Formats: sequence, C-alpha cells, structure tokens
Amino acid sequence: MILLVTLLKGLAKALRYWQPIAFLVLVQLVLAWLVASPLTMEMHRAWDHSTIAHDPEILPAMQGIAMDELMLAGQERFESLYNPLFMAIAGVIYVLFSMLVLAGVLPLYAGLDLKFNWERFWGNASRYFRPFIGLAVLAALLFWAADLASELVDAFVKDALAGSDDEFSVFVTGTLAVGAFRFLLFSLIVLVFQYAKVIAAAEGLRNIIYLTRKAFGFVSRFFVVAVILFSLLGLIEFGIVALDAAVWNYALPGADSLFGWGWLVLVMLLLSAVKLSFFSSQVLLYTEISRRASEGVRVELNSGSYETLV
Amino acid sequence: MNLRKPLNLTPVIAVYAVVVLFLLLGRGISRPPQDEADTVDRTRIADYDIRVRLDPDEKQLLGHETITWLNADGPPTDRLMLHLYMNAFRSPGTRYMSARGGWSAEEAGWIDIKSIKLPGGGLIEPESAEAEQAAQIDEDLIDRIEIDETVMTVHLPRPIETGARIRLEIEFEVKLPRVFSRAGYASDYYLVAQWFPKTGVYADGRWICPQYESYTEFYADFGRYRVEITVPNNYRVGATGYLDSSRVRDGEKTLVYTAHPVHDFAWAASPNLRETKEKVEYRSGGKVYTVDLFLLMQRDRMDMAETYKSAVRLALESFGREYGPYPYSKLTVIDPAPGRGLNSGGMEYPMFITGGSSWLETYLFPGDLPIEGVTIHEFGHQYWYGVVANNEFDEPWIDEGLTSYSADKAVDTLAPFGMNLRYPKILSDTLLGLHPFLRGWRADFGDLVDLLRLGLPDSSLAQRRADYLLQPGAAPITAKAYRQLNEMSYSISAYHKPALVLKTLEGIVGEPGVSRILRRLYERFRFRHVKGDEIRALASEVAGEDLSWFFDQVLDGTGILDYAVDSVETSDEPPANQDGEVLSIVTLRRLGEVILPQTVRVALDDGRNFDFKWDRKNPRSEPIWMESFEALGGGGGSRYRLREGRAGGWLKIEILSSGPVASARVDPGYRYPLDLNLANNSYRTDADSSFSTRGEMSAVRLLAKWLHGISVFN
Repeated sequence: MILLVTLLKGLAKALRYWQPIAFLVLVQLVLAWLVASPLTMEMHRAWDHSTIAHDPEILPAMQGIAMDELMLAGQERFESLYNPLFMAIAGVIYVLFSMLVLAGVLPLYAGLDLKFNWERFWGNASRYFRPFIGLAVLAALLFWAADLASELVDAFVKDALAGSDDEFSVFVTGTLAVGAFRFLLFSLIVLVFQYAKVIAAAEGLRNIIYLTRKAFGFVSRFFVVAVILFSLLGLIEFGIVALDAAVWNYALPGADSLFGWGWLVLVMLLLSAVKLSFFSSQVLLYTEISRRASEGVRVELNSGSYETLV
Repeated sequence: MNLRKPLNLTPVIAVYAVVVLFLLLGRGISRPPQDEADTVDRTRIADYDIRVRLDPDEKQLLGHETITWLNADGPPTDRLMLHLYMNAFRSPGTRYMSARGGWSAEEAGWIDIKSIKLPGGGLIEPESAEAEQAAQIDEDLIDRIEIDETVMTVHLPRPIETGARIRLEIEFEVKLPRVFSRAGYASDYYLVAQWFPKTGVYADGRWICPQYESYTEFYADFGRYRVEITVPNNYRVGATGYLDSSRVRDGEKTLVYTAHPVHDFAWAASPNLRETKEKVEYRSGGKVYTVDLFLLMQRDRMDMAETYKSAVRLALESFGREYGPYPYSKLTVIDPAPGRGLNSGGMEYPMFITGGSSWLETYLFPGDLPIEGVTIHEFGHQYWYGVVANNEFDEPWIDEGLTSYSADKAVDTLAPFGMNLRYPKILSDTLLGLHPFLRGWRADFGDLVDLLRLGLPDSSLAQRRADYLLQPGAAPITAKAYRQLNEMSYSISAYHKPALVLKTLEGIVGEPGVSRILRRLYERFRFRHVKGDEIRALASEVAGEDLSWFFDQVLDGTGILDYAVDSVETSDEPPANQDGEVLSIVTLRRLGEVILPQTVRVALDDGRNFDFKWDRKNPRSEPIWMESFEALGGGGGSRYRLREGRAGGWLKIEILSSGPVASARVDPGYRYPLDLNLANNSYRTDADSSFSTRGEMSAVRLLAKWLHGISVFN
C-alpha cells in the first residue's frame, strides 16, 4: 500500500513541477527534428508531388508498407543523407541536458517547498551537475563490467547447453536465465545510481564514492521494494508506449497533421513525466524510510509492504 | 543362353555372337535398337532399391542399395558419377562448410562406401546371350572409385552403351550430423535426406554432378524407389512414397515404401511423432480428387495439426485449380522437432514436406502465418521441383521462383489483404517503441527501415518487393546457385525477383495468361526436367507473342526497371494560341536499363483523363517523333504531340488544352511490381505533404523516443 502511495505522490510531485518536463520535451523534439530534417526534407522532395500515397489502386496491396517501400526504393539517397555523427552528437547533448535537468529538479523533489523557482533550479543544477556526471561515468564503467560478466555467463551456459536440442531448455535456460541474470545485474546498477542521485539531492552530498556506497547499502537492503517501485513505473511507461502504438496505427493515418504532432508532443510529455516520476517517487521512498529510521523505527520488508517493528 | 557353347550354334549365329561379344567386351554394353531411345520411359532413369537401418545410439544409418541406371540417350559412358551429399559435413574444410562457416564435431556428418560392385557384371538389359555371359561376372569396384568430397566417380570396367541399363550395388554407412542444414538429428528426431549414394544426371553427353555447396540444392533423374526402413519399434516414420508393408522383429520394425515416379526419397523418424490422417478432397479441372494426408506432428504440438491441415487443403485447392491435379494420392507432412530440429524444416522432397515454426512464432505471432506460409510454399514445390523438375544447381530460380509466385497466390487467398493483417500490430509497434529504448546504440538508418517494417500490413508481393529492393541489382536471375555472392543475392535472384518477374509478366499477358503458361508447363513437363530456355519458349507459345524481349531483360541481366514522371510543366507562352489554350509538357524518363511498354495516364485539371501508350520494347526501334499536334479523343478540342528520346530514354507528351495538366502517372495500374521506385511514377502539380508529414512524424517520433530511451536513467 505504501508503495502505491509513494508512487502516486511521486507522480503528483513530478507533474506539479511541469516546467522541467516541458523543458526536456522541448529540447528532445528540437534535437530529434534537427537530426531528422535531412531525411524529412528528402521525404517531402520525393513524395509531395507523387500520387502514390493517395492512390486507391495501390492501397490494398501496399498501404501499410508504403513508407518502407518508398524509403527502400530511395535508400541510396536516404542513406547518403543520414549522418550517424549527428545522431551521436544529439544523443550526447540530450543525455547531458537530461542530467542537468535532473540535477536541478531532484533537490526540489526532496524539499518541502512546492513552488517551482528557476533560480533555485539552476542553482541546484550547477551544484549537482558535476557529481551526477561523475556518477554516470562510474555507472558506465560498472555497466561495462556487468556486460562482460554476463557475456562470460552466457558463454558458459551456451557451452553447457551445446549438446541440447530441446528448444525449451535452450530458450529458457540459455536465453531467459542469462537474460534474467543480466537484467538483475543491470537493474542493480541502475537502482544504485538512481538512489545515489536521490541521496545526493536529499542529503546534500556530492562525494560520488560515498554516494555510491550509501546507495548500494540502501538498495541492497531494500532491493525488492526498490525493484517493485521501479517496475510499477516501468509498467506505466510501457502502457504509454502501447497506447501510443495503438493510436499511431489506428487513429493517426488519415488524421489531421495537427492532431499527429499534438499527439506526439503529448506522448513525449507523458514519457518525460514518467521518467521524472521515477526519481520523485524514489526520493519519497528514500526520505520516508530514512525518516522512520531516524525515529528509531526498524523498517523491514514483509510480503511486499512495510512492517514497522519496534 | 550360355556363351560358353558357341560351337553348337549355326555359323550365322556364331558370327553374330562374336560381333556382339566383341562389342560387349571391346566397346561395352550392347546398344538397343535406334528407335528405342525415342520411347524411353524417362520416369525410370534411376531406380533405387534400398535397405536402411537407423542406429539411434550412434546416429548412423547402415544401408545397402541397388541402383539401376539407364543411359537413356547419351553417348556411351565409362563412368558413373554419384552424389555423396553427407560428406559436405565431414570437416570444416569442405566446400559447403567453408562457405557456411562454423562447424563442431557434433555437426559432423559423412557417408562411407563400404563396398561397391556390379552384381553379375551389372548388365541387366538388353537381354541377350552375351548379357547372360556377362552376368556371370561379379565385379568389385571398390578400387575403381574416386571420391572428391560430395562426388564419387565410379570408373566402370566397360562403358554403358546408349539405351543400356546397369545395376550397381553399394553398401554404405552414414553418420548423420546434428541437424543444422536440412538433414540430421536433434535428440531423437531424425530427418533423413540426401542420405544415400545417388546418381548425377547424364545429359548431353556429360555428367552433371556438382559438389554440394552452401546455396545449392539438387538435380536428379526420376525413377522408382523401393526403400526398406528399419527403426526401433517405438519410432514413428513418415516417408516419401506409399507404405507397402511393415513387420516387427526383435524390438525393431521394418517399413517398406515404394514411390514412382519420384526423383528423391526422404524420411523422418522419432518416438515423439504422432500421426494424424485425413482424406483431403479438392477440385481440379472440374473433377474431384482425393489425397491421403499423413501429418506427423510433434506430440506436444498437436494443437497445431489443424493449422497444417488447413494449409494443405488450401494449397491443394489453389494449385489444383490453377495448374492441375497433384499427381500422387498421398502427401506426408512433418512437423519438425522444436529448437534445433527446425533446421530441417521448410524443405521439399517428393510426396514429403517439412513445415515448422518456432515456439515464439507459433504462439506469439500466429497472425504472421508461420506454419501456413511454409507449408504452402513447400507444397508448391511438389509442382515446381517434384513433378516439373529442374537442375537446381544451375537454375534455382525455376523451382524457387515458380513456387514463390504460385504459393504467394495461395497464401494471399488465405489473407487476401496481406499476411500481417491478423498480426497483433499493437504488439509489434510496442516493440518498435521499445527498440530504441533497448538498443539505442545500434540505431542507424538500417534499423530505422527495419523498424518501419514492423507491424505494417504486408502482402506477399510487398514483402518480396521489400526484399528485392535491398539489392535490386545483386545478380541476374539466371545466375547459378553456387556462384552467388551471398545468401541475400541468392534469395533475391532465386525467390523474390522471379516472383516479381512473373507478377510483372501478369502486367503484360494478364494474370490468366500467366496461369495458362504455368498450367501448360505443368502438363508438358510432367515428370521431366525443364530448362529456363524451354520456359521462355513455352511462355511465348502460350501467350501467342514472342516474349523474348521481356525475358532477355529481366532474367539474364541485372538491369533495373524504373520509369519516372520527371516533370509536368504548363505554360501559356507560345506555342499556346489565341484561343486561350495552354501548353502542358509531361516529361517521362526511363531511369533504369529495363524497357517495358508503358501506359501514361494524364489528368487535366478539368477532370478528364487520357491514357497514352509508350509501346517501346527494346532500344533499337525508331523513336516516336510527331511533327504536328493531333486531336485527343473524348472531345474538348485538346491536342497532343509525342516526342521520344533515343533508345526510349525519355518521352515528352505535349498537350494543348484549355486547362493545364494536373497530374501524370506512368504505369497507373501498378502492373509492374519490378519497378524500383513507385514514388516517382507519378507527379501532381499541386503538392500534398500529408504523407510526407506522416513520414516526418515517424522519424521525429523514433528519434525522440530514442533520446528518451538513452537518457531514461539519467
């Protein structure tokens, strides 16, 4: 129950600070549009004067695949326009920008003052941006090590299963078990570094090694709670993606382009809101557990909910 | 007659006997009467009588075969060439494995010849005293064989004359590979194919018996097969042919199958197979035919049996209606073991096909018709491979291309608006949404294209086009299977492009015209081999016009077909006249090498449409060049003039009319799916950006989600 309350409070808090969400989406869409623009200009050049997309004679056979078909037919030109470097630059810019926004907004989630203030936002951002970069670099190193470890496990399992012809043992043991191992390892790292940022903002700390150790201690102690909260938010994100897919496939074809762009902006706003809700919920979870601990209440997990033992 | 008593014969017979003996010993086996070669039963060129025992512990086959081979009409030959396909898997260094890469000891397979002999001299006909004398000789040929990987050459003591038959006995031992390519075992499931020493084809005075290589399939003569298969008693067996008898002894059972006329024999065995039988009725040419369908399912996949059956019913109905009746009264379908066993799926053998779909495909993506698609395609091979056979080494496009085209027609009747319409699009698009989230670092343009393909309704035609467009100039259709650049070029030139060529041919002779051609092909080459040239000639004959201009371009070359409307311009400058007419110029360009007659539909802004024929079929004919304007039909006082560039490189349609041209389309009925770029087939003067805007939204959406994905934890 407390998890659900934390989740809802976190969502509400993230939505209350709508300015960083809008800021994220604005930069996201501008970057995406800039990277896509050489391709989209070619689309307009190649297709705007063609009748193919509106041709009832071709629709029964080609309707759905028309875009794929057209892009393949013009693939050389499209490929020549696509520049992976632009994409990489956009990716790096956006990840850094996202960290900056997070550094600005996380202390607000941890505070009691509900008013958004750009001055405080930028002040927080300048204070926590560098440690957050340090945490990201450390996380990247650990991801790399975890990837290496799971590759080794994968090779070991594959070797052990080499003689098996059974699809299920290969699939379940080989793919799912190794996948689960990888997932657990990655989840642990993700959670540790998310809570490291949460702890930094909640307690005003900036030493990345200390933060990592403290976050690891917290996550390892409350791993299941942290995973459940994370998974609930993940489910919400998945639901938005699925809803977007449904609307994209069934409602958007033939719809006014204003509706299309509007829907796209709305989906990205929702996704960014959920992303920030991960953090706001985690801040609430962390502060709640810390508060109870400071009041001398031992907090343990029992069957997915808290049970306070005096 | 015993030739050891020649002195008892009359002098004439004695002279005759000496001559025959001379021919027999000096030149070879005697020649039949000349006219016999013309009445050869080509369904009995290579007969096989095989006994084989499966040893499940050692994954081995112990076999004995008697091959009776007829030199139907070739010049005498002093050697026989046989395929030993299983040797392709003997080591990582074989031609097959070198091209494929990867090899493990478990995947090793081979065939060893234990003995080979000509029983009684090997001669079985024509019957004569000399033949009987030769029949006393029992010759061991083990020292007269040469084995080069998958090909064995047997140097005969005497040549085999034209029209003569020879009998050869071979004892062999096969180690089956753990299946990774068509044949082998997966745990206790066995798909036994390409397993016995098999004669090559002796045609035009030469042996055609190529090595088994990565992309090649097979080529064999028709014959009568009798095969005794011995397996453990708890095994179920499915095989080519009809089950004649069975017996059980000492924990083993022996099943005897016969098949005629066929050109290969495959079988499957496993204790986990469950057999279901059904009599399938279908119509062909107004008659009702019945086929006994033997479906052998994996015991834990029985719920998929009905899917297989419905696919076979549909295939029989469709092929029976289009091309003629299936010539046998039995068909065996195998559902391969899941996992590793799927590597034996999707294969065709006479009267015997393997289907298969992975667990994920079967249960998560049933709307993708994984079982139906494979089963109908492999059934199609009963027509184009099984009955109308061909040299698959040299001309793989014949069996694969004709099957792709005709099976697509059948599959599309199952899902008339495209295979994937039943596909859970929401699921695939969800994956599409998650893809950048999970694998953003690999996102590149190729992925973008792949992503756009996911979850979109997709007819067989559109799928083939999408694959063809990946490498449209990869290789000519007529390229040999073993001279392909890679798997993609093989699949394009053997499967996708030939299917598109036949669809394009529909645009020239009509869909019924192509059906007539294939029906005639099926009738004329029933139980024979057909060559590409014969198909071209037959197509022209049936269509009633010489189609070589078409086939020469699309089969032999790598040229592409791409016609475009380059521009539509309207001007009220001279030569527009004082009556207020404007001059519109529609410029068409041929961007590819392939030339096909085109229809150009021009729409005026007053709503009138005019079709112009651009009937060029080759680059050599004189260009169209009208000096003066002529009246357009349909009233309205409009006039036109055509001017064509050299070799049909371009065409200008000049139209004098009271209003401007609104749009122009080349190939307005989309009759030519070979056309590389359908977007440039038309031009409208008033731009409409709604479709491009959707593309723009797609691209921005994907990139925005990608950015969200890579930053979601930061």
